[in-house]
Amino acid sequence: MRINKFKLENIFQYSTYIVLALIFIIFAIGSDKFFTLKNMYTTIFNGGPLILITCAVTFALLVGVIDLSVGAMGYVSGCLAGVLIKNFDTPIALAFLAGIALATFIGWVNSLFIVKFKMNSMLVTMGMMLIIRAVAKIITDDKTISLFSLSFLRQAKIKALGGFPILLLVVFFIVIVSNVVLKRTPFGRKLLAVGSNEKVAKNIGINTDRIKSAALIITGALSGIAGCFWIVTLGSVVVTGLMSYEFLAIAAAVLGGVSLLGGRGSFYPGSFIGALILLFIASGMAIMGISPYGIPFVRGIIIFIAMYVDSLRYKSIMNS
Amino acid sequence: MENKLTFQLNNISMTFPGVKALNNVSFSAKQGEVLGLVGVNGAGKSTMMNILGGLLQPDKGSEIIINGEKVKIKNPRVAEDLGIAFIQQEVAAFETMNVYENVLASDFEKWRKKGSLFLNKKAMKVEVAKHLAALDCHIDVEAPTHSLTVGEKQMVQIARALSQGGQILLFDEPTASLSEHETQKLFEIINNLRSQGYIIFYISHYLDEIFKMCDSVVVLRDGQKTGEVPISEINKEKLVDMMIGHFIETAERKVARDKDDVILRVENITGVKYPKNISFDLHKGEILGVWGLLGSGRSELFNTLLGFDKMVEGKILLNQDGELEEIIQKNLYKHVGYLTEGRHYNGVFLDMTIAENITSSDLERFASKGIGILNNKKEKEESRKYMKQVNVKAVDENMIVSELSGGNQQKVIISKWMLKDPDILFMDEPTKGVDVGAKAEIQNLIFDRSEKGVSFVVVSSELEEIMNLCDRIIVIAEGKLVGEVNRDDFSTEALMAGIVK
Repeated sequence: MRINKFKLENIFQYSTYIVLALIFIIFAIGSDKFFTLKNMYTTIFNGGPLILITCAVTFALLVGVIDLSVGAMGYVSGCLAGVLIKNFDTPIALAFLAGIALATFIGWVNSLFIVKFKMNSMLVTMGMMLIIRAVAKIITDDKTISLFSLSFLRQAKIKALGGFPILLLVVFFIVIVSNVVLKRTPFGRKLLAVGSNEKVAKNIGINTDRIKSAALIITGALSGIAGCFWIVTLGSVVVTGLMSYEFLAIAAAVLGGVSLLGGRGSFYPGSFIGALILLFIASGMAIMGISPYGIPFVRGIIIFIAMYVDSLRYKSIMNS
Repeated sequence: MENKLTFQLNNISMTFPGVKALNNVSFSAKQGEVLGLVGVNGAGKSTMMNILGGLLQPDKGSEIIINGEKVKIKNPRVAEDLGIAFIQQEVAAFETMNVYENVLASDFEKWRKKGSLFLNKKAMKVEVAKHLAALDCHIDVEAPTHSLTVGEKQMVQIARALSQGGQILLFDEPTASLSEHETQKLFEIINNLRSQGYIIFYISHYLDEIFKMCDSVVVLRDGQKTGEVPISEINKEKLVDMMIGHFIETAERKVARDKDDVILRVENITGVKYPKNISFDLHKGEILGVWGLLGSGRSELFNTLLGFDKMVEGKILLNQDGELEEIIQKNLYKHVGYLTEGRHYNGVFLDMTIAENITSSDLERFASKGIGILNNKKEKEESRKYMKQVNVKAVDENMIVSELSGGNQQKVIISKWMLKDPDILFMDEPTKGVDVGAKAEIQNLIFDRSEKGVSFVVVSSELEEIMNLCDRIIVIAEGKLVGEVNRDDFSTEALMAGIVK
């Protein structure tokens, strides 16, 4: 009964690549400084925290939780690590571990409220965001902390690749591992199942509570790693750090095709390319000397377009 | 109705990307006619209804003619203005509103007080009470809708259709969620509407209902019309023949099992309200039916056994490695399969592929040792095997499940459970909303599995089905076990006896 099956979805699958390519073309025409190896490396390296936080929030989104505390979890993790290094001479690795552990713990607390006590996830994580930001202020005494001892990490580069920042490997590693976990392991498939329809998932014997909790704890851990990455890229802890990153990260994930309702999405291309789109818009506009106030404006427009494409894609799935 | 109402469809075609869902279908209906629309799942019935309801636009060349005038049903609003009202399969009610608000939900503007921003609630209630009275339906217009039964909600929907001035009513599987009593009531109403001169389209999988209710019947198969006949000139065999082209026989059920081999024993299980003190044994390879009227507590029995509801008293014993051992209530679901009612909401992952759905029940089997990477190739091979066994009609295993018809979705769910292969499978309405052909296939499959030693507990509201399928039926009324009938003694009377008593 089926004649040549024309799949509209196939085009949509590549929509994120198309948007990214368009941005590259537009800015490459606008400035010859944009499409250079150096700008690519710098933009992705400095955008590392956003990419990681996008991955973090994607884990929560996949199970249908909109986690608004990701930015704050990253921030408090960076603060703790920074204070430990500066004021207590803690070895860097240990300080990072402490920061990541703290964020992981907060992720666990989130999961306790959301999964165990069945509280509304958006409000729980919003409250958590406010609390953590306040705690972080107490930890840092609301002062900027300079961390010169981290500059060697920032400056470690592979010359053979035209100055590839070594730490970027961490970002790529996390994106790739997350994607393999999602696409190729039972745990990943269960994440999608829980996000797609929790009732059905429970029905076929999936421990949905455990899967959801695991996702939220991973979200915390990845946010913590993002926080450590952030203090390395910046070389200091500033009070406004990672402000409103939760929204940027959610927007990036959605741009990359992650569903806000859960059950659909990927880390690569998905969240990774989504984050790159937001990052390169900012970098391109800065290079072309456009007012920094214009950046959020353009990002907003891109998000609208992405949501429209997403609705078309969803329609094409549901209508056929 | 002063003017004589006529309705005609000419050459209706509908093409989806790659699929011809309807191919040049023409038929007509006249005033006071109940027209049955039958066909197996995926034959094009729902597509036809959606075109009439304005939810889909047919291909060029299709003509819809009402009272001699060619019309274009661009959207549901236009359909409403033309007097076409759609009474949907899954009852559509706004749960948080009152009855009268629900009935008039499509046109609140009209009920504003003159020169005021506020609704004239008094007039609204009077209007709704009038329509409900015409349906001989005694629901309080101020009752909150969520407190109504499914049947009452359907009445609300019919009242809504009438209040909009509907003259052509489309009923899509109206009895699917109704109790026996409510069904009778609905039939009375439909008969009543017929005598008042409405045109009624009636879609149903229950052929008995078609023969009982309809004046004539239109048969669809693979998007084409294969028959349009007055009901008096046709019998059931001929109709099924037109629907599927051939008749699928159900295998004969051989009841041969070892009486001693109890796999599940339930002792005095008691819930908060229902069930009350129910005990029974389930044998290895047995198909046990649970029969009771709607509200008799049969669903509660399932929910309590499977740990969704609280168990106040009782014991559940499970045969593990040859020994009956007591098991805590919350753990039983780990050892059994549960095929739920309401497949759309509780049965499948709609946005996942067929293969992903089928393998979801036992993913570990496809994971490599060590770090546990899924073997996609093996997943797909295995899925194809099951799809073939239950005859899922799809392009391939990578199709998204939402693209399948209802019956095929049900087959995917059943494949999922076959893959997991539990010793005991609980099934709530396993073939509800499934066409005749698929019904027989599913039944044969259950027989086949039970011969291999799988035990089944089946709840079904269709007497005929439960009698065909089961080896033994326990009867539930008011939460209590009131009877037990063996296959040899099956009869409607025997099953009803326990309830009436």
